[in-house]
Amino acid sequence: MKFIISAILIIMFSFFAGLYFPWWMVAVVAFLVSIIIQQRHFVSFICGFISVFLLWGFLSFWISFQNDHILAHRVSLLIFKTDSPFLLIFATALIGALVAGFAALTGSYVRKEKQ
Amino acid sequence: MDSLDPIVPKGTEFPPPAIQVKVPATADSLYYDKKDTTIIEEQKPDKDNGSNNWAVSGQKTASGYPILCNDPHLGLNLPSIWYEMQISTPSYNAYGVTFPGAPAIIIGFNDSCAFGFTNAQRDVRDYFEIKFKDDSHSEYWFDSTWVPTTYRIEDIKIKGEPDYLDTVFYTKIGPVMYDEKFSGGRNANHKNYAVRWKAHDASNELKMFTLLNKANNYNDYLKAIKYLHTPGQNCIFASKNGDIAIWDQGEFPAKWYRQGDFTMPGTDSSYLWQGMIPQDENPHLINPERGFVSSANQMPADTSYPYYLGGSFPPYRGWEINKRLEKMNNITPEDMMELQTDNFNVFGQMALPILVKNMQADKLSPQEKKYFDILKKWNFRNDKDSKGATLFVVTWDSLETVIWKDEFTKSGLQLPWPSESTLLDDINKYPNFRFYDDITTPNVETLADDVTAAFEMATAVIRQADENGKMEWAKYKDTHVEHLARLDAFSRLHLPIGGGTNTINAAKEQHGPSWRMVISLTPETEAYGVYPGGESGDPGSKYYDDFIDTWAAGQYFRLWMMKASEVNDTRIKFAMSFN
Repeated sequence: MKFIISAILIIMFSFFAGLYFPWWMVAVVAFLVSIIIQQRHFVSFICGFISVFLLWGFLSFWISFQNDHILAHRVSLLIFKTDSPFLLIFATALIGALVAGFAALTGSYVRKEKQ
Repeated sequence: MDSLDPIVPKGTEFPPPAIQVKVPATADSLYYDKKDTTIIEEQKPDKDNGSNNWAVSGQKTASGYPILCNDPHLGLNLPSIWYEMQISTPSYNAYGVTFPGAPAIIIGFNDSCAFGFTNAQRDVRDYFEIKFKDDSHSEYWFDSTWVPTTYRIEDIKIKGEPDYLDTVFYTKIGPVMYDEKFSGGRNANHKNYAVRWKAHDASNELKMFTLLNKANNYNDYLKAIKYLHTPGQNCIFASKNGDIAIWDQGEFPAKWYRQGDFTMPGTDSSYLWQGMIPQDENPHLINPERGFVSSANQMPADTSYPYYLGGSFPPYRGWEINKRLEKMNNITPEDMMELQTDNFNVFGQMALPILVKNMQADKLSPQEKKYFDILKKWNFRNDKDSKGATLFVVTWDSLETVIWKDEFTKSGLQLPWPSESTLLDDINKYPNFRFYDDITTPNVETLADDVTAAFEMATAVIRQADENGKMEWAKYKDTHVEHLARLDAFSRLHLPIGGGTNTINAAKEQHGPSWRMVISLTPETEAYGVYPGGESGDPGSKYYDDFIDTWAAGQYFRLWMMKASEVNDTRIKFAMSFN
C-alpha cells in the first residue's frame, strides 16, 4: 500500500513539477516522498525508479506519437545510429528512472539516519 | 571558347562607350609581366554557385503567353535556404521564394509579371599592393608622395578577457585587408594589400525586390533593377502583356583588358578604377526576334562589348539551353520542366571523342576494355543509372590530373588549375601542347599517353565503385541535402538524381538547383515550383524535408497564389492570427 501511495505521489508531483521546473525536479520529488513515506531502502529505489520510468516513458511516447515519431526517428539515428523511436523513449524513461530511483534511495537513507 | 554563346548574341552592336578607360603607362613592366603570386588565403564564394534562367515569348509557346523559368544553383542544405511565401497587399500580390528575414519575394511572380536571377560572374573586387613607409603603417607611397593613412580601431569584445583592439588601415584605394597579421602568423606574408570592392559602396538592393514585387510592366522592372549594384545578376523578366527581357545588371567598374585579374600596384592612381559603366550600357536583350532570352552564367557578350568583362564564365549550360530553346515551339510548362531537369551533358558530347580517339586500347587490360566499351557507348546523358556518365566524369577528372598536376606541383605556387573548358580548348588547338608531357619522367608523353594513363587511373576508382554496386551515376555522385550542423540523421542522403556539372540539371554532390520555377504568364497565372527542402526548419516537422523526393524525381508542385476570395478554401490547413 505504501508502495502504491508513494508511486502515485511521485508520478503526480513529478508531472506537475515538470510543467514549471527543470527536469531534475523528479529527483527532488522522489527524495522528499521517500523521506515522508518510509520504506525499505531497496523498495524505495524501486518505487522511485518505476514511477518515473512509467511517467517519462508515457509522456515521451505521447509527445512523440503526436507527430508520428518524426523527431524520435531522427534523434534515435543521431544518438544510437539505429532508427528506433522506442529505443529513444526507453532511454529517456531509463534516465529519469535512474535519477529518481537514486534520489528515493537517498531520501530513504536520510530518514534512517535521522532516526 | 568562353564566349561560346553569350547572353547577348554574337554580332550585337554596342553603342560607343561613355567611359574611355586608359591602360596605365607602366602596365607592361609593372603589371602584365610581373604577376604577383603571393600565397594568401582568400575566401571566395563556392565556385559551383551558378544558375539557369530563361524566358520564352508568346510566339514560341502553346498558350501564346510568355513562360519564365529560373533555377538558382546553391549549396543543398537543411533547413532549406529558400522558403515559399506569398505577399498580399491592397495594391499587389507577389508569390515566390525568399530567404528567412527578407521582407520581399526574391524570385517569383506577381499578378502581371515574373522575375528571376542568375549570377553575372563579374569581377568587382580588386587588390592593390600598398607600400608603407615603415612598420607604423602611418604613411604609404601614392603618386610619388607619402600620404598619411587613416585608420579605424575595431573593438572586439571577448567574454572574460580584455577587449581585442584591431587597427584597420585605410588608404585612398580602400581598407588594407591583408597584412602580416592576417593569417595569424600561419603564412609568412609580409606584403600589404588594400581591397577595392564594389560591395563597400552604398547601395539599396533590397529596394529592387520590393519594386519588382509590385512591378506591372517592363518599365517598372527597368526602374527596379537600377537599384542592383552588387552582386551583379542577370535579371530576367517576362510579363503578361508579352514582353521578355534580360539585363546583365549591376554597377560594374569600367576596366581595361585584364585589369584586376592579378594584384595591382597600389602606388599609382592610374591603376585605380576609372569609373563605373553607365547602367544603360550593361548588356541586355529585350524581345529579341529569336523569341527567347536566357542566361546560365556564361559571358554576357562577345569581345565586341566595349568594356573588359573580368570574371569566370562556365560556357556549357548556356550553350545547351540556347540550342534547345532555339528548336522548341508550341512550348508548354511541361516542356520547360523537362528542359529544366534535363541531364544532357554537352561538355561530354564535345570531349568524349577526344578520349575515344586517343585511347591506346591495346594497352588496356580486359577489364579496362570492358569499361572502355561502356564509355564509348555513352549517350552523353548524366542520367541517374548511367554507367557511362560515371566513366566519363572520372576519366576527365583524371585527365586533368595527369595533364596539370606535374607542372603545377613543380611550380610550388598555390594556383588553381585551368577550367575544363580551357583544357578542352587547348586540346583542340594545340596538338603538341607542352603540358601533355609528364615532367617527372624522362619520356616525352603525348595526349594519347595521357588519355590512357587517365583512363587507367579512373578505372582503378571505378572498379572499386563497381564492386560496391555504386557505378551508376546517381549512386557514384551521391547527391545529398545536408543539415547545417552536418548531422546525417537530420540530412537527406543518397538521393536518386542525375545531372551534375555542365548539365542543365546541375545537381552535384551537395550543390544544385535550390529552387526550380516555371511560370506561364497566361491571364490566370500557371505557376510551378519545387525546392529541395520544406517550409519548416524544424527536424521534428513533417514539413521539414517533404519536397525533397519530388525535387529529386524532377517533379513540380502547382503554386497557388491565393486570392482574398479563397479564404474559405478547403486547402487551407492552418491560419495564424496576430492580435
